Amino acid sequence: MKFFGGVHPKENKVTKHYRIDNITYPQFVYLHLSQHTGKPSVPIVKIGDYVLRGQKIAEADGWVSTTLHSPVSGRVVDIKNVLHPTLNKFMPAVIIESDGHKKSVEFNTKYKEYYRYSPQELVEYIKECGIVGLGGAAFPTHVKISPPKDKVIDYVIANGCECEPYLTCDDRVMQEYPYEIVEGLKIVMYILNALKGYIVVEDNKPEAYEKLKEKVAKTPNIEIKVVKTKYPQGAEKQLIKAVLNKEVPSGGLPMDVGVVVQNVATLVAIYNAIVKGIPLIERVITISGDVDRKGNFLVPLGIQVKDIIKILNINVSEINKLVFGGPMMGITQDSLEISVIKGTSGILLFKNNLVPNTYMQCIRCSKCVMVCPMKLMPNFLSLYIEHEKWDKVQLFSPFDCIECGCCSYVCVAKRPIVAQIKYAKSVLMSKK
Amino acid sequence: MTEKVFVITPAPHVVKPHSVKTMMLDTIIALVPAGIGAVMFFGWYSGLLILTSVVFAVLSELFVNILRKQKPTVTDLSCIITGLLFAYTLPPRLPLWIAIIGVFVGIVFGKHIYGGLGYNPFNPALIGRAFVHIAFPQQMGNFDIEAISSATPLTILKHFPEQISSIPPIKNLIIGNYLGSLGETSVVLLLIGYIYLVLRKHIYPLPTLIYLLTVVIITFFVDKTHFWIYMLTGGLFLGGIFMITDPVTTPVSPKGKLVFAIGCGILTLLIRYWGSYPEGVCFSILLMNILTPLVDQYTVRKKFGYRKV
Repeated sequence: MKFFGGVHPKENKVTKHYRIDNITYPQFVYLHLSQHTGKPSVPIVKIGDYVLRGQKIAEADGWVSTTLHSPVSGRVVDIKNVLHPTLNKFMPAVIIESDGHKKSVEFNTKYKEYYRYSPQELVEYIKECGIVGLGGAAFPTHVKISPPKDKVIDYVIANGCECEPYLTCDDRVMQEYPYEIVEGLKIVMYILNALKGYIVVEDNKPEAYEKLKEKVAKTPNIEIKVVKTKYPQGAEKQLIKAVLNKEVPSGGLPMDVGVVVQNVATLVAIYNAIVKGIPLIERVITISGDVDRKGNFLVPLGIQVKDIIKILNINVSEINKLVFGGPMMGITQDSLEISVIKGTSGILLFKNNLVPNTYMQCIRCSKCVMVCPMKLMPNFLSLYIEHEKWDKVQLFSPFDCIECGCCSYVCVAKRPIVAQIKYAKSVLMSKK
Repeated sequence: MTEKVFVITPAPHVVKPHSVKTMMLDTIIALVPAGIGAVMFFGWYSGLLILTSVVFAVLSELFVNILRKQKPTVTDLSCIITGLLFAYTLPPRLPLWIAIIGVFVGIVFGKHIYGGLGYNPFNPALIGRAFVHIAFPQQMGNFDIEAISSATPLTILKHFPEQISSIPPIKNLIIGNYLGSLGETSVVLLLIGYIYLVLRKHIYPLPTLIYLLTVVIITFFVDKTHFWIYMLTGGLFLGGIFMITDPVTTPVSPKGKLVFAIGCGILTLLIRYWGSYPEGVCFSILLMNILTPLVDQYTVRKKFGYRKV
């Protein structure tokens, strides 16, 4: 089975065979209070406080929010507004100066035998560990695995389809932590009382497939599926379509068709939280692009790009573009003083700006129509948005757009279609 | 080093390395075999005719650019396609001045008067062709080569049924070695262009096939005895491959493209059998061009996860 549309950008997954490396910790970490979708966390430390590695420094503000922990031991030097990598504005962050000792709290391994506890307790503890979806959107995991009572979840899908070019962090996680992924999947299946788990891998990651296959050999209710390499295979709705041939209704969530999707790195984080008691304080990112020093690195949250390039000795003198995330959906940053957050999957450094800065009128070639995985009409959206005909724009369902960027990618007239749709969404939201 | 500032652009940060220009260039490449065929079958004069209409298409484009005080749009290469397509619909011995008038009308009144490439409701080449067809019926109906009076197979079928025996055998009709408009005669050479365009993913194969299928089915019921002549002569393949797949003037949704193809097929045959012209491809496509916005409106496809409210 497959989903409609999609594109095949050049993969450029050059860091595929680079083992996940540790990185020396920087002197300062800048921990944003808003590293997830939902309300920002509320700090529970004051300037001058001494914190340990793994100590909670901010509390969740309500249900759709989560906690935050310090990845280093040291002193809180400031709580102030710093530039946020995805929201493009100054947001409050806790700045901690590391003492270099990585003194950590004693991790709570109470839930090691998780099947002895109720799902509610585990969900509460996952929230306590600040776990969010590590695929990019950073939606709080405890919300995702708490469906309303009337929704029965039959399937849990572990999303190993890292379809963005360049990025290889999930691929490496699958190759190096297959056991943790399978165990994490079992925990989620236990919490949701799901019948079956799928681990889905694209056919360009045979090594990951082999490693995972060994681990699920003795688990009858978990199956590995290989799907075709196509962008955006890793998008939740497209993945469900490809694996289970179910269409998530417009405006709905995967749980409406009885499915919950979790990124493989998130499953590792869930395993670490439940079994080892370690909250989310580090993540694997890919550093790639037009630089010599590439690779996959386990970095502490809040590390600044400035420090990463200093520690790894990356030469950025010829670099003109800095992207957080993959090249299809990532966000450009204008300075190196920007810190890694929970949803950052990669840091890409490019010499040249490949995106043309002019565009032509639409010639109705309909290539965008044929690649849109949501089966929208990007050409009409683009035209009506250009002329600000908002009532017409609404007829073509801009809110169903998943912003994958396939339309802009194939446009022969080089129109910035997906950027226009994002703009339209913000305009229409403010009108409501 | 910390003061370093990077460029800010919206995602995606990679794009497919193609453009309007490369797309048009591919279409020109696809049109080349039929042009070579025209020179082979009808002699050097036809080559001159093609060249003239391409050159004057470019000049007309430049002329409009000057009038509109805009940057030269010749670089998008679309005017060359208009010139080629227009020339391919002309009889082999048409005086050059008529071709020049036709291509000028096509570029100026078929395209730029609406705002240029992308905004034209009608296929510019067909506007030019329709204009000269109506303005110079005598010359446009004259397919004489080397003073031998003759007529195209479709004209024979319609107006001189007693001369049916003079229509060349099917083999010639497929290769293209018979009397007809410059670029429309050779099915084989046009199909080479079709395959190239499909392989380069610039056109979707289905509309062309549906168009031909519509014509096959109706022709089969109306005039079974001359089936092959109706299928293989006239502008069926030229129109079906290069004109009903024109991006600008046809619907955008897959369903819309099929509706367009079926409509063109039906109109072509209505004109062929019951109209006063022997050939109907040109006018059928122009008529369907009018309906394109309407078809677009009614063929917006169902989105992913669509549910009835």
